[in-house]
Amino acid sequence: MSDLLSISPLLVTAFTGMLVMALDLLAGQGRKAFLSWVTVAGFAVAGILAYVLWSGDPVVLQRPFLANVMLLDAHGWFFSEVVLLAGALAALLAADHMPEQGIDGGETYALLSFSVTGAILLMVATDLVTLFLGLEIMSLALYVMAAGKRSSPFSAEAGIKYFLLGGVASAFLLMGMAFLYGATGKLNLVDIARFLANHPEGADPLLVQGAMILLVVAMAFKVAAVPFHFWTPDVYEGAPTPVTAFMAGAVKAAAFAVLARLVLTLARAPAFQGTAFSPADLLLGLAVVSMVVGNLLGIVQTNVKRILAYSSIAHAGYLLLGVWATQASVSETGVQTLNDSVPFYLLAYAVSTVGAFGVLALLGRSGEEDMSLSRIAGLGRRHPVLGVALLVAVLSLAGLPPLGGFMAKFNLFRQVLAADPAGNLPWVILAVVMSVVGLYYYLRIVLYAFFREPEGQPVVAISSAAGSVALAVTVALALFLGIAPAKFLDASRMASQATVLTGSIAASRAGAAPVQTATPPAAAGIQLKPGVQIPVRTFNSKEGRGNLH
Amino acid sequence: MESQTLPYIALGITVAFSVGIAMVILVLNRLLGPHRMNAEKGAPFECGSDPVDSPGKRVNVRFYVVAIFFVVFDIEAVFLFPWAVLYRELLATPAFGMLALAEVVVFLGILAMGLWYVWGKGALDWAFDAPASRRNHG
Repeated sequence: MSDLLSISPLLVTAFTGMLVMALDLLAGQGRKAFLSWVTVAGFAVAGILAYVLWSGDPVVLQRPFLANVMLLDAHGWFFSEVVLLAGALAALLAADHMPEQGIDGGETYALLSFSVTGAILLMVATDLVTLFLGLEIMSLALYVMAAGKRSSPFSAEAGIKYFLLGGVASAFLLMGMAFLYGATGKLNLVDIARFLANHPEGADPLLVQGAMILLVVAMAFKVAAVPFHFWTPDVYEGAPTPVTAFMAGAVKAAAFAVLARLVLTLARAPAFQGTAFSPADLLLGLAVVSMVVGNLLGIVQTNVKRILAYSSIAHAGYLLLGVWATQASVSETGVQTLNDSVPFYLLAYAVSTVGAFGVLALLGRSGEEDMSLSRIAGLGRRHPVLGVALLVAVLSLAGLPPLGGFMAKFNLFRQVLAADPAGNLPWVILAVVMSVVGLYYYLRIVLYAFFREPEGQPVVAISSAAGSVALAVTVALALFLGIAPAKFLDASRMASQATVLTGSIAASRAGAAPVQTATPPAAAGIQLKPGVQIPVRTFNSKEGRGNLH
Repeated sequence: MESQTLPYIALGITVAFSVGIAMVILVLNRLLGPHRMNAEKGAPFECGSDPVDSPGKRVNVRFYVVAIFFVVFDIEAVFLFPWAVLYRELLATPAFGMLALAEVVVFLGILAMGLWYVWGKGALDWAFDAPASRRNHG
């Protein structure tokens, strides 16, 4: 029972999805907008539960079969809150945008709930199979949502592209997991971390290094880092705008949470000690090219959705820089922890990008696919409220004070510098220069919205109460994160210190009660060959039953 | 070292042998067989009977839905069989007890919910002249 309580946010979001499906059947045609509020209510309940669980001690599931598959701690719950927030905002934005675009169905909300469920599962999973399951639940729902506008070939293109490249990413991830299993004989990240801590001679270095490369490539697809970013502009442009908002905000947070946990946990492997190849170089390389390419290509775009897509790629670059610059742990284990600033950055980024896409969603009237810069001309005069929301979101993405994006970027660069003042200076300078380059296209959006007169028909917005609520929340949060970020920075620190698994989970948490990590019950093993042991979990102690004999 | 590579050598020999045999037979067929083409021979081979239709036609999408249903109920059965086999033992185990029954009820409940949903969406209306109001797959 306590297990069910500790995963209750997951259960609530999954149940929300099913409830929405049922209500979708019962509701009449054209009366589906209330489903968005049902979804938001479900996410709110899940968010409150996650907050309550977060204040408790970290929990490891104990039940046989489920032992160690999930670690429910500050890392998981912080990112769950980000995903739930982005999901709720996307649901609100969808309420009036979707019927306007001829997508009148409850599927979007059900799929959104399932996608959020998958994302949470992904972030709390410590078992590689569970992690993969979460990733697939999140992604499969997203593929369908991206192709949700069935009258539009662009939407179909977005769905197919996202599906194919997501499939490739999954294949990389699976292969990486297979390598990891081949190297350590374990499928559990906690066990793997413990194995790495207790076996200084380590596993086959080639396998571990190969696994690292494959896992980083797979997650780089998901976070849209260069050179695995090619799907991003097309998918962001073609998918229905509220779905794009969810993709940009929530999926990036989930993917970064997993990337940081996987890579930083494995980076301690002996296989990386004293060799030319290091996972840090991999992250740094991706970070640098993502910052440069994302910002430079953003300049030449003329479509607002594509500009925001390249902005998302550039932000992936800054975030990778943050993941790369690990910090010395506060505890005595000597383990490097995730940079404090990364979870906060993801929160601020999610709020800002959902806000920016949210304004575009409310401008997406029926039959108007195109979101080129000239279409938002005159927005500030005609719809001042939407104009201000767009201004706040875009300037927050650009990183101007006093908005959340500024605080996130400032904090990230400061922490990266603090991790190694001399060595990291060139990269921080590059990041700052690239932020200035990025300012060009962010300000171009502002220029068009406020200082250009429309050439043809002036832009007309959808009147949407739900969407307005969502935008009000993003504006308020963007301001709040910039002006009074202390609480959120503390939460971010808690989350980042839980990210890297150390093998002795209890020791890494300052002040937390020791966690019981149950060893798998009756871990029998079949001896195939010397050195190759396949662990088999038996259901009970009765010899032979449930065993692979 | 030797004991590790030996199975791979055997595997390699097997692969080489099977590919080789296939190649040899195909090449011999090409070299030795008589080649006299006529309309009868050029027709697509459908288990020996005359072709009834052109293969370039559209296939009814319902086949796809039927296939999905098959997979769904197949998976359901796959999960239920081991549960049924172990049920007595599960009941006797203190840690599980009635939980085993409850879990299967939840599992079946979720599947029933899915069935109800696709039914309501008209995916079970297999007749071609189903009323338009029911054929709301959206």
